[in-house]
Amino acid sequence: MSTVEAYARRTARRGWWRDGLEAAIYLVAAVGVAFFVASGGLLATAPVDHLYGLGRVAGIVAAVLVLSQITLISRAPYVERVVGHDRAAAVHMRLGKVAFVLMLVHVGLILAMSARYDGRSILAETTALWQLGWFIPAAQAGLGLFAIVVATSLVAIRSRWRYERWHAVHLLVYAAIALVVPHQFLEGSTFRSGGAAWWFWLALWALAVGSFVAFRIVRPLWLLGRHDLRVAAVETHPDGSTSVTMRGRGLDRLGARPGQFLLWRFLDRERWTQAHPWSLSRAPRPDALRITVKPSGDASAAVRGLEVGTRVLVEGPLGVFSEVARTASGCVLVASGIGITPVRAMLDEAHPACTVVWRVRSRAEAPLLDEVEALAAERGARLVILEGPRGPGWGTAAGETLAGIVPDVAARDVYVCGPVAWADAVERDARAAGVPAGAIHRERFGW
Amino acid sequence: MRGSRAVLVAGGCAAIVGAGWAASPKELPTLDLVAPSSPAASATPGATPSPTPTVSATAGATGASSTYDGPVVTNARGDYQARITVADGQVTDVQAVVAGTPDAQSVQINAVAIPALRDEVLAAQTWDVAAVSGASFTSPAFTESLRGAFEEAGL
Repeated sequence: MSTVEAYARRTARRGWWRDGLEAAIYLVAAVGVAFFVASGGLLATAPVDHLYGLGRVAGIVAAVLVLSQITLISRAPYVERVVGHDRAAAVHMRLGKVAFVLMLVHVGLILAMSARYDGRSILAETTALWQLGWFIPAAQAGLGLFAIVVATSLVAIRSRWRYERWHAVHLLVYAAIALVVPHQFLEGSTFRSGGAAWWFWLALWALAVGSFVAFRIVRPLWLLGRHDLRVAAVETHPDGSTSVTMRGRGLDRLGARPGQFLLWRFLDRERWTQAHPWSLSRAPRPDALRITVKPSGDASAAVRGLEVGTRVLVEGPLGVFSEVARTASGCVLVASGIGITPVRAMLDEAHPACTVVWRVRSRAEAPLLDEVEALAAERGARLVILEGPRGPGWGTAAGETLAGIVPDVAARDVYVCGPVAWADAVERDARAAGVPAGAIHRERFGW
Repeated sequence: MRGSRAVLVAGGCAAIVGAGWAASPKELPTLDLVAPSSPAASATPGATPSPTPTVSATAGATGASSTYDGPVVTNARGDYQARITVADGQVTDVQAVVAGTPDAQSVQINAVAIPALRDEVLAAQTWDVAAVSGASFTSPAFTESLRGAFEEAGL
């Protein structure tokens, strides 16, 4: 079997998995609704009763979406390897908006219909429902927290809030979920009786929360123990970027591939609360990993002050920006500025049919330039450096195009790493040159 | 997702919900409520507990039996009022004058819970019976009203 055939089979398999995960969301929602229907949810004394039923369905689907969201950002390998980290985060966000709207529909309809049945005003009903148990005011408070999180997430995108501040607010979600879940089991009529529906929901929550705890908490701690990863060297380069080399035991068992990234958490007093996504800037070695960071946010700048010996907690490896996504035998690696880091790592294993296109303002500001040039020469890869101020497209004022640089680009994989707007421009150019959507690979760091 | 797979998934979802429908009860169970014995005892939301239980006696073929209404008890799930029929010091029947709200869920729960409570009371001859599972609002409210009816009847 040729390599290209193997790529095609792998791509098809990933396609099945990805569709399977998406289908699972719909099917699980259908089972939730089916339990509601089976318990007599469609029975009504008057047509208007169906509005109450609709409110219950909205709550059920919202719960399924929240469960999907938890699973999507649990960093479980069955999500990361199949969907990719960036797409999982994007879907997580899209589901979040829908889930929030459904929560509002759920609360609005249940409240309005209960008020109608009980002959109270909606305001009076809001507090009257507290008689049902502590879990009702808890759920109401949880909804308030969800509203804060959704609002700040929207504001954060618009006004480019600092990641650290947005993240702190986003942590409220844990509290919101903890407040909201009990009412589903203690009040949710379909689930109260402890039958099959109850076990179904318990299993779903256990799976989603279990994945989250296992892959975001337990596994990183276990890796810390297994590899004993520590900062070994911090080196600042002439262009202003900083390389951090970390040493540990048996790092090949992490299974990281060149081009992938990990979430790094440096366990010292100032930095342990924050995890940052940075790509490996060199193929992983059994005893060492290296990242290269350009100062942009506060944290990137603070990497310089890292003490040698600091323990490092990692989550990952993450993302499908690597050989695993290959669909064709040739490839073009397009990077902008510090976006060269995953490309630099991929060059360690690249074969000659690779072309590296690197967009930099000037050679003096190009991180790891010596290494990239030496490696490209050694591996027989073509290196094209586009140097100069910004032009009309993604290139310089000369207006370069992918097809102009690599005439057979349509038959190759195109990997793009750089700022979102710039990468969008490269992607548009690649599509215009006839590169299939499935052959364009990007890792979008939203922050 | 590709078109053919999307159709497959949509069909699967429809089949699952359809199975739920097949397994569901097709008619709302009904609970026969008895008419309030006097306007004073009729359910007015918020009247908790009504202090005027009414007593009426009817001469039947097998001897005298009397009915006693408990107070109206209100909670988050609506109003509840019980009526007992007593003959020769024995409770011979338990009925509901008011039970919950017209909401389909409430109707469904009460249609099961009230007859269950009735059977328990008739068997044990006391108002103090165990709550029916799945009816955590009906049970205490209805037994509370029953207690009033039992006291009124001197049982």
